[in-house]
Amino acid sequence: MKNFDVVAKFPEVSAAVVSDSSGAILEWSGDIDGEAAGAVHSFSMQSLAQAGELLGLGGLERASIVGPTKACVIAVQGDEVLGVYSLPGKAFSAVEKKLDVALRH
Amino acid sequence: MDAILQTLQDMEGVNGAVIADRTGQVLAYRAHALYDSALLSQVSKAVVTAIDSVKLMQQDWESVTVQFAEGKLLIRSLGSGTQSKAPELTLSVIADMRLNVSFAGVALRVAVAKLKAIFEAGNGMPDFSGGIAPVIKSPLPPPAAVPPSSRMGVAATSPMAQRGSNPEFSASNLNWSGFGGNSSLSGSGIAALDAASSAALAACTKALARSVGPMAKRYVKESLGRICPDRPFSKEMVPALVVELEKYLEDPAHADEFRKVAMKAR
Repeated sequence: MKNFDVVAKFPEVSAAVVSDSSGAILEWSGDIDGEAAGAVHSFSMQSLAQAGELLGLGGLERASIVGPTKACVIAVQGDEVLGVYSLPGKAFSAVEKKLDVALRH
Repeated sequence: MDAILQTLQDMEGVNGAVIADRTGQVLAYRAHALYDSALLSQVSKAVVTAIDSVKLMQQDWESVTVQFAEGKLLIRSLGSGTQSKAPELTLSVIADMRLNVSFAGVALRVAVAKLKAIFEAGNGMPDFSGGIAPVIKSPLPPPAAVPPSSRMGVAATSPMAQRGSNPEFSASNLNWSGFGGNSSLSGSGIAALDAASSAALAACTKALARSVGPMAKRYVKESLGRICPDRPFSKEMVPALVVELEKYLEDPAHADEFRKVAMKAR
C-alpha cells in the first residue's frame, strides 16, 4: 500500500496491518499478530459489505471499532484492507483524521 | 423498548433500528417499510458474522461504526453475556447521508444505557414474548430541503414529512461507478449499452431515490434483472424500467411524480 509507512509511523498508531481481500497479509508493523489480524479485517469487512449491499447503502469504505482499551479503523483501498490500531479517545480521533488525509494522497 | 427504538428512528437520517441476539436473530426493530423483517434478519446475520470475527481481535468491543458510500451502519454492544445479567445483544442503526453523526452518537449512548438498564432490571433477557415489534409501515419520506446548519439531531419529526425533493440528496452519492463507455461492466454486474443509456439509468435511479432513498440502486438492479437479464441496458428500455420501478412505490402520488421525472430520461 502506497502510504503504509506514513500511516504506521503516526505517533498514535500502535499497530497497522495491510491484507488483501482474501485475508493474506501484505504488510504489518507494531505489536500485533499481522496474519491473524489481516484475515480478521478482510473477513469482517466482507460481511459488513454484504450487510451494506442488502441495505442499499452502497460500497463499503471503512469501519471503526472501539472498545475501552483499544480502537481500530479498517479501511478498504481497492483490493487492499488496511487496519490501524490505537488507544481509544483523542488518539483514535487523531488517527482517523490523519488516515483520511493520508489515503486521499 | 419500542419507545427507545422509535426515538432513534425519529432522528433525521435514521431509517431503522434493530436489536438482535448473538445468532443474528432480530428480536425487535423499528424501520421504514423498505426494510422488512426478512431483510433485517439477513442483515443481522451478516453483522453478527462480522462482529464474531472482530471479537477475535477486540473481545471487549463497544461500538462499530461502518461507513458506506451512501449511508452508515452504527452498531452498539448491549452486553457481553458474561457480565452480570446483560445478554449478548446488539443494537444496529441504519442511516443515510443525512445523519448528524455527533447527535446520533449521543442518542445511541442514551438508548444503550436505557436498554442495558431494562435488561439489568429484568434479570437478564428482556421479554420478547410478544414477538418482533410491529414495524411502522411508513414510506421513506423524501428528505426535506433543510440546510445542514439548522438540522437538529433528535427531532420528533413525523415519518410523513413534507413532500418535495432535496436536490442536494438526490444529486449526491447516487453514481453508478463503472458505467459509461461502450458495454462497460460495472462492479455491480450491470451493463449499459452506451453513455446515453448510462445517463438515462442514472436519471431513473435518482428519480426513484427521491422516494426510497439509498434502496433505489438495489431496486433498479432487481428490475434490470427482470427486464434485461442477458443484455446491456439501453435507453429504449426506460419505459419498461419505469413500469417495474413504480411497483416499489406504495404511494400513487410518489409513483406519478417518479414516472414524470423518469420518463424525461428517454
